[in-house]
Amino acid sequence: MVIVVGKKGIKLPFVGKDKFADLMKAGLGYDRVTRTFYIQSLDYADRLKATLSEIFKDDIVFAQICLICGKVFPCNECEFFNDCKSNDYPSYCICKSCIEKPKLFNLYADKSKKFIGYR
Amino acid sequence: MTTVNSLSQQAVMWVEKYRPQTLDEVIGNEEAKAMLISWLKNWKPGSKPALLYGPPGIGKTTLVHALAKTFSYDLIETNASDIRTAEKILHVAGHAAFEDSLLQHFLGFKGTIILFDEVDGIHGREDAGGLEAIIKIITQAKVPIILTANDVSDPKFRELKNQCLSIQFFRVRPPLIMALLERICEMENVKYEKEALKILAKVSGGDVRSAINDLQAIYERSGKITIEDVKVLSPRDREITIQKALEELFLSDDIERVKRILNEVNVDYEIFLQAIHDNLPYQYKNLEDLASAYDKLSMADIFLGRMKRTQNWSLLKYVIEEMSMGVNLSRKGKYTPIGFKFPPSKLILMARTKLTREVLDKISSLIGKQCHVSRQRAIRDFIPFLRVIFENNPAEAKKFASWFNFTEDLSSYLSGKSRGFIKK
Repeated sequence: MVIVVGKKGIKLPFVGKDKFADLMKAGLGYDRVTRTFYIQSLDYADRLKATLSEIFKDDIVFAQICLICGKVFPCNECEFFNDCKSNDYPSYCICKSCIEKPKLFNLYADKSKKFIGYR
Repeated sequence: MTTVNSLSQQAVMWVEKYRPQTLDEVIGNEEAKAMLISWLKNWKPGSKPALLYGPPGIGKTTLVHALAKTFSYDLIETNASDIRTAEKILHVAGHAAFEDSLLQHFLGFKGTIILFDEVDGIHGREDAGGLEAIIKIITQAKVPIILTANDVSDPKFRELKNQCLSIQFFRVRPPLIMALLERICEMENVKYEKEALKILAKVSGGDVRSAINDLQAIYERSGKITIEDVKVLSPRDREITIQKALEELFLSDDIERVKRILNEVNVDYEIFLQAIHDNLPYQYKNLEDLASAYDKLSMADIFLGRMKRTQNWSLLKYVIEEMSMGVNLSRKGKYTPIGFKFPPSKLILMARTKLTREVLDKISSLIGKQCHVSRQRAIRDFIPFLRVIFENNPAEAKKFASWFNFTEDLSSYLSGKSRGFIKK
């Protein structure tokens, strides 16, 4: 089984002091209010994935969010998976069904404007 | 080659024509863009500068230009690869960072943004305080400052990273590149197959500029974009490793290609020169070829040293030419490639002797303090004699150790008891 992890609201079982420190060093942050983890930095994405994988005892993939329809999907669903140089970083992308839509760039630009808070 | 467009159309490069002017035209890295906008909107004197880092060709500099334009800021740009010394950096950006811009009042700008482009092009020791000058400016600046870099993983950038809000950029994803190519085709009335655009996006390696250039080149050749037309393209890999660069250098018959590869190789030129030096005797078996190649390499070394000493970076082209064309053309006969040796032996030796060098450094520093001599002189003129004393006369050695304030470890190194251990 593969576990898909998003950028925010990551719930982990009790990991202990050492593992917690490992996770912080690997780029995870901890939200004391919601008691969930979130990805703060992707400088050590591979290390982060390996540590999470040890905790969950399973393979980890990061979730992608379709900027156009909001669907959450893993990278390996995408036809560009093998050619993408930034695959499996949790980020915004375009899902395989939206990619076939006409006037794709205009759709993307509209959503992107809203997302970055600039109009 | 058939040209289907008019001359006037050809003269306009699409990459220039469709260069992003506003923020929404810069594709990809949405979270980074949002973070940068929010940083600028909330910026006040004393706020941290923004450090944008990520691989080359993904639009970091373009984004800063679009940001300044969108929010009506005057942009002062310095490329840290060209302006490296503390004096030059302070001369170009110092005044702007500490004082208000007159243009702000006359031309209606909201303020000034200073952009230090490619700060990772600054080398700590060689570039005479360049990094320190930038840190000085960013900690005291009264205007927003943005820095860009390709790679800030080197420890020398730790302080800079601590002083900045780091914003990471990733390669633009193929679906977004495909959407942009589709839009350009529609604007230019180019007939295209969507699958062909997908291939173009795939082979671009996340480099938008290359994808647009490929699109225009194919259109100018065949007047349409079909799967058949784009099949000739090979994937772009911008991250050229030292292994790949060595392979091209020794194997390729295309000099221009070798030069281009050397320009793009993702490694320090000094290390690359050392890597060529170490690999030459294994690759060139003919002694005349080998002598000629070493001759060219020594010229490259002379230019590299002169470039660092005088800070005259225009000499870099000669370094590259001697290293690429010089070494490549030295080979006359047939060539059978064998495995490459890396890292360079000098680096291995330096790593192995690190502990010894540290001990010697401590000893020479203590000698220097007591005898008022340089460390170099202490190593050359004092340590050999101290070694003889420490090895043969423990009573005298004790007195010297106490006078120089040598610790037990240092005394033990000089007496030869721990030398072998330290060397390992």
